[in-house]
Amino acid sequence: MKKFLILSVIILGTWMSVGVGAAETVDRSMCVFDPSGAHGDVFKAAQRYQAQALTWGIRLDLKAYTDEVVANSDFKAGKCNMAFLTSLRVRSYVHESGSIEAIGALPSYDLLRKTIEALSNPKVRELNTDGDYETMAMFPGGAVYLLLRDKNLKDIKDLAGRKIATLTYDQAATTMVDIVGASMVPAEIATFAGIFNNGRADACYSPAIGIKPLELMKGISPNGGIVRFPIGQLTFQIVARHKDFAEGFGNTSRAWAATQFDAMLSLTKKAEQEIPAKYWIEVPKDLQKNYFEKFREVRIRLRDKKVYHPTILKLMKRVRCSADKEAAECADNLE
Amino acid sequence: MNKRIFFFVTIVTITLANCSIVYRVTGKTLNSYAQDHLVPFYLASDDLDAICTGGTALGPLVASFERTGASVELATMVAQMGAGMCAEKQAQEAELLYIAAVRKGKGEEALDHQARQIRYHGVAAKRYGDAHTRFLQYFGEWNGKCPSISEDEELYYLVGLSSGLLAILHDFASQGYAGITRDVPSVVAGASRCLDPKKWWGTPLALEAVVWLSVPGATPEGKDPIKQMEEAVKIGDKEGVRLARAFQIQAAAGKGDVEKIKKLILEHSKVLSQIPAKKEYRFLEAFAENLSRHESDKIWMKETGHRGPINFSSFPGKKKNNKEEDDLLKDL
Repeated sequence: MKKFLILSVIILGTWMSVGVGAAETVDRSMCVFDPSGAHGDVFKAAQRYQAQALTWGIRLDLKAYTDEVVANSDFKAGKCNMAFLTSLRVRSYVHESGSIEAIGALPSYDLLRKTIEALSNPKVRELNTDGDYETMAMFPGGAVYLLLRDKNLKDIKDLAGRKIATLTYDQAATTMVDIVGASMVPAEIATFAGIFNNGRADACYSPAIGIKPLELMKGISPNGGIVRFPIGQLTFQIVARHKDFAEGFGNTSRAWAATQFDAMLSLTKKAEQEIPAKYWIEVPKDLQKNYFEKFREVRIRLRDKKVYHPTILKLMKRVRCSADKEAAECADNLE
Repeated sequence: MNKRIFFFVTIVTITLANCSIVYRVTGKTLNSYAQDHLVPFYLASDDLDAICTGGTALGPLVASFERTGASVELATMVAQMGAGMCAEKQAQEAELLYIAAVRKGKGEEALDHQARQIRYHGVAAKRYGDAHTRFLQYFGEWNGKCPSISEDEELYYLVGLSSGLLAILHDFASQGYAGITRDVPSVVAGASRCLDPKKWWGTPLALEAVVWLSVPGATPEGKDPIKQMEEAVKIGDKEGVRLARAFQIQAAAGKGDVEKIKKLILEHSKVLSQIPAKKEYRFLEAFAENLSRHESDKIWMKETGHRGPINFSSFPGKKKNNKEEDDLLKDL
């Protein structure tokens, strides 16, 4: 009897320790796209997320990818439970959150912050879910700017008939090129800088963080510049299959991610401050209106093509109008 | 009385003037001593801890002679490079503890080690960044044309470029804490072409390739960074200074390909036992070894919860082929 008791205690103890251990942390994996790989800022952010997720009972195994197409297809094939991707790719899983990068919708970081904070509110979980997928976090990746070889083209109308180096998989960019009447020079991330610097295109677009490492100053010197009017906000998002995570995980995760806004933007802000003032092209108010209207035309066309989600466009318009109630668009009903 | 005051003022003036002369001469002496003896002595030592502690302690002293008008850029650059390694070692230590905490599922511990790791990366970035700034002060800002570099200065030129690359890597890891200029990668890639790769153990080729591999879109048409890196490693292996390997493993670590990292680490370990290190440059060898050892320890820590062998010569074993062993032991 005594032996039996001891044996029972041992068995129970072993079972308890295994059981409790398993309840403490669950193993999950995340495919992380960072153009600079494991040394890059996005991967470092993924590591901060990894440490944070432990406190929510998830132990994440991270895998770095320098090619987003591969990271995306591995996630799609179920090789990882989560993926850290650009919003452009996330859009094919969660239509709503992937629409946050809509062209020209958020011309300042404050507006982007407000939008990300609003979307992290537990009341709108459904705006972060789509079928089996859920967006667990959103981080700013930096505003995308238009770079010109000739600064006299600073009105968007001047781009008609000009050549723009365009990422072919980016539907928003190809639509914009079409609407402003420019012609497209097909490019990839690995080739656009060379195309622009060698004069094969009159314009290209890039976040500030790419300008110095890719030596894009060669293309904008001596007569060009960088148009200080964000054409879009690059965002990195974490997308997951929600069945792999406990209920409520998404709300916790999004709330934490929203607090990381400034930390994620620090490298971008530094890169923007580092660009010599002479390279920036300030856009006068009346010309800003032209940019805004063209971009809105692109957004509406892409909304009608089901590329951008109407609810998110509406939310972003509300965010803009909360900051500037007098804006003309606040009285219309286009978005 | 007036005479006395005049005499006193004269004495003080002469003393002060002499002091500034003495200081400046001391600074110049220190600088040339550093270049003639201290740096070669440093380079021949494989004691990273001693060098990094020495750099941290002596850096401010050496740099302070700038105030006397002495030019001490090169000596300060080497000292700051050593100081950067101290912070880098601390960051590596914190990173290993962070990996261990993740393995154990300890969230708060992981967050704290990670916070320490980020801080040390920041310190390392500042120190390496300072070394790189001294390099630019001495050789002039990079404008696309090679400066005239004497035979004796070439090694400093190489150290200055390497410190720039290390500064930017650590700055990324510290969320831009040190604010290292984003010009560094293109400066390193361009300026590394000013050195003869054969003479400097393939390192200039490795520096250029590591920039191409880390900055998407930076590789010029018709160039293959991976092939160039392999060529650099081959030269370094033959010469007994395997600094190129350190950059090759860093680049592979960036790509996150664990199998490739393991393969390169094992190759590095093997070549160490085959070809002796060049005596005059044992320090650079030790630096490269430390990087490989750290990458090896990271893999060990993640897979087993502890560090690996000091000579990074193996990885946690795959499952043994039990059937084969059973056959061997049959009927014994």
